[in-house]
Amino acid sequence: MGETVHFALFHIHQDAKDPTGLLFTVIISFLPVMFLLIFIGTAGAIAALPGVLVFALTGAGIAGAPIVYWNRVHHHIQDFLVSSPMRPASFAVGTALYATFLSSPSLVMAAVALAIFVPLSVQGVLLAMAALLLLWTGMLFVGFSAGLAAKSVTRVNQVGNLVGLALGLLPPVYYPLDRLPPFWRPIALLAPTTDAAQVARAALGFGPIPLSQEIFAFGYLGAFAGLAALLSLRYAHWVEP
Amino acid sequence: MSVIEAQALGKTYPGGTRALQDVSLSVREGEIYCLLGRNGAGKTTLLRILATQLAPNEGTARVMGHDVVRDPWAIRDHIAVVPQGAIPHGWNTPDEAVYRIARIRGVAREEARRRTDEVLRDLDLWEHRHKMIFDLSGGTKQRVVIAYAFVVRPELLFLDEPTIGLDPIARRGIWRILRRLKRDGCTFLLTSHYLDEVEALADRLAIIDRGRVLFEGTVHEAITGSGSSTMVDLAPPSSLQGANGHAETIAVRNDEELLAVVQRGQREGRKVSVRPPSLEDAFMRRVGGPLDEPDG
Ligand SMILES: Nc1ncnc2c1ncn2[C@@H]1O[C@H](COP(=O)(O)OP(=O)(O)O)[C@@H](O)[C@H]1O
Ligand SMILES: [Mg+2]
Repeated sequence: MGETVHFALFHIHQDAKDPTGLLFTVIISFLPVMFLLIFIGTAGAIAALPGVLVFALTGAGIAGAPIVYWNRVHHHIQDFLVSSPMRPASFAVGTALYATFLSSPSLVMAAVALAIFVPLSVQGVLLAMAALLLLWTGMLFVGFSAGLAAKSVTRVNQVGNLVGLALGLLPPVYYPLDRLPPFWRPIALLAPTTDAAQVARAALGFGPIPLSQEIFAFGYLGAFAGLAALLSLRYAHWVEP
Repeated sequence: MSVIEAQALGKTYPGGTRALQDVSLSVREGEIYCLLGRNGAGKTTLLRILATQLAPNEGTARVMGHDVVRDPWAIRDHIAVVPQGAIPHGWNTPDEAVYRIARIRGVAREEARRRTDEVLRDLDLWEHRHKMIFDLSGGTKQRVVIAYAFVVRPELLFLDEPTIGLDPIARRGIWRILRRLKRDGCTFLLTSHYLDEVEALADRLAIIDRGRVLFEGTVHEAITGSGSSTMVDLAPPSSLQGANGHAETIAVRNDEELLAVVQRGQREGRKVSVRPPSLEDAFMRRVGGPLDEPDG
């Protein structure tokens, strides 16, 4: 546990020296909210705030891929850590904690805005957090495996961009699922980001969803997180083959 | 007791490069053991297998009594590495980075603070401790990486070409600390292609070439074991100086041979010098060819 936090802090020291670098993720993750504000109005923009949380946490998971890649290939800090008692899971989570720090201004701004504009219930907040935590856990192990497997910088950037686009921007993360044509809805639910966003929206009071959909979403997110963790810890190469 | 015991280790990389073949060696507790070889000889491959970072294809290795493949977690508590060519994170200061590494390795807060200060002083990083690593010279950056390993105070320390890029004074500074840690009971596996470094540090060494161990023993054994007791250097003939003339180094085994070579040198009008054999001679004879051939 300690090693995880200290590994995150090892990196956070660096970015804490110039926090303006963190504004980049704020701009990206709030961009759809801005559009909704301009073209739909305040209500649509506020209803998109859970999407900011989903997008920022997904990005934090994926951002693990280049961080792991650089630590392995350039800094060789991974060699140092493999020859130490640090567990690969601690390494993966520590990397993600750091990446989440990079996203923290978006997360904080969205959370504060929700608290101001929306009447929240404790139960709803906990439910939303559970869904987001499962999503974050799954994504961080996706980022970890991609970073360990990538053979080149180009590849690791491609994977990051494609997965970020496919999971963060294409599915209904910033708006309700029923805005999609019926044909696309089940397909969209295959993206764990859709499930997390729909649960979070409902739990935070933006229109209820059927209980069956909620149960499916939690089952799906749980399976995603569990499988991502299991498969990456089992098959990703902590020790080089 | 052997701290490292390798038996017939072999490694072929997924691409097909056969990096190690039939490597057996043993490192004893408390010694500085050097792997000496040219670039591409297989030193890093061997070190990474022993430090549990890379899986071998053949043979077995035990480190501190535990198998590197089956039981790596029992080993990892006791070791630290200085990886080859590591580049420390530039936006940290040496003070932050070394302290944080100590915490990552499970050292408690106050002890980590104390050790960090000590290591920064030992490695002449004290005056740089609050600068960005980014702004430091190459040699100073390398000392930061070495500090990561020293602050762990491992029982067994792996160093892969640790003094590359350091100036002669800084290199001797590192050697001094290694000897001091050795007095505290640390064991070292160190790779190098610097003959003077190996001569200065090694209790024992292995000469590695093309993935095979050509020699294992002390520096003294490496030098004397090759049979010759005396070396004769013949300068190029004075009439042929420049591109045409070439120097010769001849190993002689007895007085008759010595006399013959000296007389030939005089006959040919060449400057003759007689000296004891060095590690360089022993290395050249075994490996055959110049050091540092740029082949990766
Ligand atoms: N990851 C790798 N994949 C494929 N070949 C490699 C890899 N690492 C090293 N090699 C090859 O293995 C041989 C030994 O390399 P290495 O152990 O790095 O030697 P040294 O450290 O003595 O310079 C070289 O031919 C090198 O090109
Ligand atoms: Mg090497």
